[in-house]
Amino acid sequence: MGLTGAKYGCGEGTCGACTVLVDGVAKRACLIRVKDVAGRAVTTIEGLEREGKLHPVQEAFVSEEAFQCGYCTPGMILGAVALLAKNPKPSEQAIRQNLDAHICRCGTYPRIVAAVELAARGGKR
Amino acid sequence: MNLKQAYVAEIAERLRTRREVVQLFGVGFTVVVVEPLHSWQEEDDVVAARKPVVRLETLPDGKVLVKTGKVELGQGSRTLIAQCVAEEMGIPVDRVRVEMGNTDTCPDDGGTWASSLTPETVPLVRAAAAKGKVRDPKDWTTLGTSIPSLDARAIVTGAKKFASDWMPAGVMAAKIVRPEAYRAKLVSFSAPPEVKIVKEGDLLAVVAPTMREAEAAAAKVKAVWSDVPIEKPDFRANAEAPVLVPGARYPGIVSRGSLEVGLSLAAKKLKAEYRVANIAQVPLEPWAAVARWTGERLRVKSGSQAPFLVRRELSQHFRMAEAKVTVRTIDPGSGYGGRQRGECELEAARIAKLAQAPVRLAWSREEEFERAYFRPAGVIDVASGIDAAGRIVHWDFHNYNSGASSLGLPYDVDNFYCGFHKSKAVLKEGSYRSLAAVANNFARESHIDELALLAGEDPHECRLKNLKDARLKEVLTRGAEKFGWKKRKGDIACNLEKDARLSLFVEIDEKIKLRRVVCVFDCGAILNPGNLRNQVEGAIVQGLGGALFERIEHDGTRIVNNRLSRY
Repeated sequence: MGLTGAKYGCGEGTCGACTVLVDGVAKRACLIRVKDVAGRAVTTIEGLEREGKLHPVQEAFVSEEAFQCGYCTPGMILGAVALLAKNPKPSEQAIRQNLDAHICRCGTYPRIVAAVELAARGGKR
Repeated sequence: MNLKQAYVAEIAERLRTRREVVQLFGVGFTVVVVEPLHSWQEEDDVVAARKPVVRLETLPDGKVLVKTGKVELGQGSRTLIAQCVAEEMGIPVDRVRVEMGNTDTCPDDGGTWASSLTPETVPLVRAAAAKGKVRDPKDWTTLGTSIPSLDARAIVTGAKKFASDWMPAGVMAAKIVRPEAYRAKLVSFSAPPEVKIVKEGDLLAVVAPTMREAEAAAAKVKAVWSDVPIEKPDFRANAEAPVLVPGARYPGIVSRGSLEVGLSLAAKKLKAEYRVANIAQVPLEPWAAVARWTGERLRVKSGSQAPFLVRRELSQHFRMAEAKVTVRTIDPGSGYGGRQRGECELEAARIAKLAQAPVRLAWSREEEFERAYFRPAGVIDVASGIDAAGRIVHWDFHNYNSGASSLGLPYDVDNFYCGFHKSKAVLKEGSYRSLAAVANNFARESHIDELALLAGEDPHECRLKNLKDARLKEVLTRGAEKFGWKKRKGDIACNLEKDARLSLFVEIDEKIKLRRVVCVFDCGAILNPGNLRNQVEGAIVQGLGGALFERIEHDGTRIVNNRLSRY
């Protein structure tokens, strides 16, 4: 399909770079087989933007510049989207716990937490 | 002429030549259609056209194209280079396009290493764009502002293509059959007849139409290896004497006065040893390279930090002219100093040559752990002395194996010696984020704390007392205020490196859990404050891993924590 947004990082479900949404739930693509998702909705980062408009979590990541190299970002954003769908007003601790299984080797974690908080506030500072 | 002078002269010469090229075109810039290179055909056209390499061009749509041999690793270089051009030409940033890391079309600005973009490449780009006198920082309107990353939208939408996303049609996937051992010699192997094997020396690989097929085929290969044990390191026993190479970026000896005199002045003496472990770069994107031979020409795309150096490595290996090798960097999922050498590129090129087909080689995480290089391990010995007033009078500092960066002493001491001893590494070692400076800073600043204890002094006071450098004193004073040093318990370190000054204050609890970090950084004129803040925050966070829990472990044969779940 030529969709390269979901990234390979570890192949063992540890880094979160390959995160996709399966029926809205964050899953590690490296741990699921194609037959496991037959008939289910799989959303990759490419499917988040609607009619040229970024998803609020994408907006928040841009606004906080919550990345450096950007390799972890697609997985990080999808992890955050799944979290906010489940828990629209997460505490800082809940965000940290939820995204703990995502690695950003550039070390932008404080910004990532800030971006998720911003998205949870509907983009209001 | 020493190395550094030669390099500076070379840059000056290139700059001069470039000016002449620019002048030839009268209006100031050449006008050529240059689109992003998506296909091999377009690359062939570029090669065939053999255009002279120029720093700047004006594109038909009125945008300005700037080219640099430096690459974007996430440190913000693309945006910064665009800012430089926009500032000096008085145009908006969105009218600038940046082409990076292509050995055919970009000037060789050296590798993307040693924090050299700002002090070395930025002045070249600014001078070329200014066509004369560069703008004074007080007049800046674009530089000095927090222009957001030009890649932001592409990053958050998944549109940004990284090195491992480059999978052109018709390229075969390669998978190398590796030994379990860190080093091993290939004794023999067998494989079913349907598996397409390539072999050269100890390089044994499988080539197939897709990665999945290549991995499945590689699993069918039975190889017998003779393991080479990993020796125990003995950095002191294998040490060479420190040497001072004129013009070295990181001098191997920094000294003043006489150690004998210093020792005679010491009222209290201290000796200590500090050790640093090998740690892994772990860029989140493991290495990947695509190699293609057309006759005697080799083209490689990868996430290299140093495409020109990799081009040299490839041309030397295959004994061919550099002009016949193209290396083009596709932005990698970061590098931190770990992508300066062409291990993956060379493997891909060798396999492509043997298979007589264009080949894509993408390392697994385990391969990245084992085949890339580590931050150097080492031992640092410090002997010191203070006088009755608590002033440092003697400092004898020896770093074995872990690098010369930040070797010198920022403190005001009349008699000191700091030497870097090259030694024998047992694992493959190379550059790391923050250079090798971490090792020397760790030893020096830990030792200063111990001296403060010996003198019965506050570590902050002890530092201020022994410093003359006003900028370093200021970052320490400001940091102490922000941190609330007088009221809170914490630890301090400071550093003077590449003319920048930094102080760092941390608060940790009794379980060695980090509570708070305050960092004050004086780095001179700031080109992009937002990006700088991001970089400093990221470096602190990454540094915590090395300080608290990262280390590479082996069992004498294999790297045992070669996965993220074990590292």
